[in-house]
Amino acid sequence: MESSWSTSITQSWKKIAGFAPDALQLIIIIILGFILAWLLKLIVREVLKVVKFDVFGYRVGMTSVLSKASITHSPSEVIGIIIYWCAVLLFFLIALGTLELYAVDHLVTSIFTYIPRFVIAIFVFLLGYFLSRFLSRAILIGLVNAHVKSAKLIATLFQILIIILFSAMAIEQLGIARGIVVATFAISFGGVVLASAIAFGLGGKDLAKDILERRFKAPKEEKTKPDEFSHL
Amino acid sequence: MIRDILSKEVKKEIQQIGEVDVLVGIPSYNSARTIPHVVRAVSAGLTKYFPKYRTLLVNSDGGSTDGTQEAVKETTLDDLDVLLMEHPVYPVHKIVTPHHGMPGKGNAFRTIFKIASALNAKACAVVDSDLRSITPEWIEALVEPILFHEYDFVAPYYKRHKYDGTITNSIVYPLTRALYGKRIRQPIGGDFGFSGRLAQHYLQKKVYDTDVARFGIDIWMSTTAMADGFKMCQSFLGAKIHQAKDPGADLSEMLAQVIGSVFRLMEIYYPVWSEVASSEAVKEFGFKFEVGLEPIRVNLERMVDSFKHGMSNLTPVWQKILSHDLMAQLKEMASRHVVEFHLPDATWVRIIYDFALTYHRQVMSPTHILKSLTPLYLGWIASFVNQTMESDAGEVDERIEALSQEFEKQKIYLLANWDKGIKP
Repeated sequence: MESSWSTSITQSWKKIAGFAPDALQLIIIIILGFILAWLLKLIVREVLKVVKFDVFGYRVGMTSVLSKASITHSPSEVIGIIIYWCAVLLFFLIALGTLELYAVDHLVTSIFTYIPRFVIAIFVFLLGYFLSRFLSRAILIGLVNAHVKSAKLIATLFQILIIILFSAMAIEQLGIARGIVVATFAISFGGVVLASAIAFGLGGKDLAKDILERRFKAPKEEKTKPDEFSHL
Repeated sequence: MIRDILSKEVKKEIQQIGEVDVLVGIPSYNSARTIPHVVRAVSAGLTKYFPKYRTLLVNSDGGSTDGTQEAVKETTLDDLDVLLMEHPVYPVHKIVTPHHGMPGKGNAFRTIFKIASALNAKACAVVDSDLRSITPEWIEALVEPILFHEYDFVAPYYKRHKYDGTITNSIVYPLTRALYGKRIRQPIGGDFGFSGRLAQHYLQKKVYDTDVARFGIDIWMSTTAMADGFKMCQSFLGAKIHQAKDPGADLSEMLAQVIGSVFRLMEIYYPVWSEVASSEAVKEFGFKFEVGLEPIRVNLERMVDSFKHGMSNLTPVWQKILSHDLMAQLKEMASRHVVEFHLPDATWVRIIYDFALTYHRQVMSPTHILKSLTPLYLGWIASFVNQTMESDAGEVDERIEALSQEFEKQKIYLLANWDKGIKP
């Protein structure tokens, strides 16, 4: 009886002793990961500040998006925090890999192969979002200055179109239900293009009428005549 | 030293000429119809008023395809005897050259500055190639203060219709006056006189590959002379009449180019204008006379419509630029009928200063900021026309003076907010 107890304790001890170096290695890698992630965050944040990324973020509307989401950090700080947690996750996965357990290894490999696609998808989506804001504002201002009546509608439709396009690209990158995504995108895109064409037609009706009248008919009213003074 | 922006032929001509006292430059692009008159007026002016000086006419062309350069070469002064009391000692030399670098008036001027510098010119002038109202007296008015009174920069002073030059009257003149403290009435006139010393100073600036060279060379020349402390004056030239163009062709683009240049220069010269507290008149040359100006048509209703259209569509953009108070005032304005449309001077000045601050803070794309100003500008013009419909030219000048004083008064607001950084 005593022998069985001692054998069991010895075996457990041996197992613990055998696992201890791996556990220690795991803890060291995780601690190291936290330190390096913190350093990386610091470097990225400072570099972004030097290249005036916050100013860029303000101009493309990143800051207003963050404030709408009640995030009080500046864009460069947000990027630093994202990089920090990505690095921590990376070191955590590396640390788990040292345990050499089949299930963990399999999980780590899957995550590692998926991370780049996930990052690209996020990047594509964000790029589309900010591009859509920038372009729709440019279109809105241009159309207002050209006296197009449905300026806001056309600019909004254009923004939706760009967001749909980039969202479809991002989801396709993630590999989620590719067939459905492509079909949904084609239907949505076609719908928006048709809606835009109708809206543009309706909105541009007056403009087209004006152009044609100016081209082919003598002006009927004083109201249609241009100003004669020079702005410069 | 003559760099490669001048062709071998031009360098050879420069060597043959040696030195000149007076140089007049005419930048051109597809001006074959109008440039012969300008060349004749310049040649007559040089011959009549500076007969004992070595003179040169330079045509710096931007690659015209309508025979502008040939027109300049072929234009001669036939009626010399009618013009002159005494025979000139030196003939007027003529150099016709294409300019290199980015297209635009800026690089045409750079070529003129280079030639002036290489020939050690004492006094220079530049005039537009599409002028219909230029006379030989313009050359005297632009060159004489440089040659005989030691001025470095002569700005033009035209007699114009009360509604002509609205960008100048409502923004550029009062703003540059408030910023740099010099009452130069036509800072973007386009026809200037300048000393050889100032031509060399212009040449040293690295702006010829930027947008300044393409769009804002006139305001850049005036501002550089003002901010860098050159001695300035203005000369009365009479009426300014250009070859007819569609004035509303692309107002938004034109406004963005001119105001963008003023705002860019504000960045460069902040250390200068932040120290200026008031403005002073500059010496004026020339005999002022009244000019008969034809009445012009103004479409008030369309301007107010543009403002209202902007108000109903661009509010989200303007909210990033203007304060809540201003937005509330503009909203109230948008509800008014055309005849009651009135934008107070103080509101207009605050709008311009808020746009300048937004441009400085880079809150959004500079092009978006500048182009979103157009409906507000048209609203201001409508209000100005409403107020001055019955006024004569003198009363309109008084209105512009009052507006300029408002710009000076509110400069303290601009200064107080300049360094506040990005809006929260």
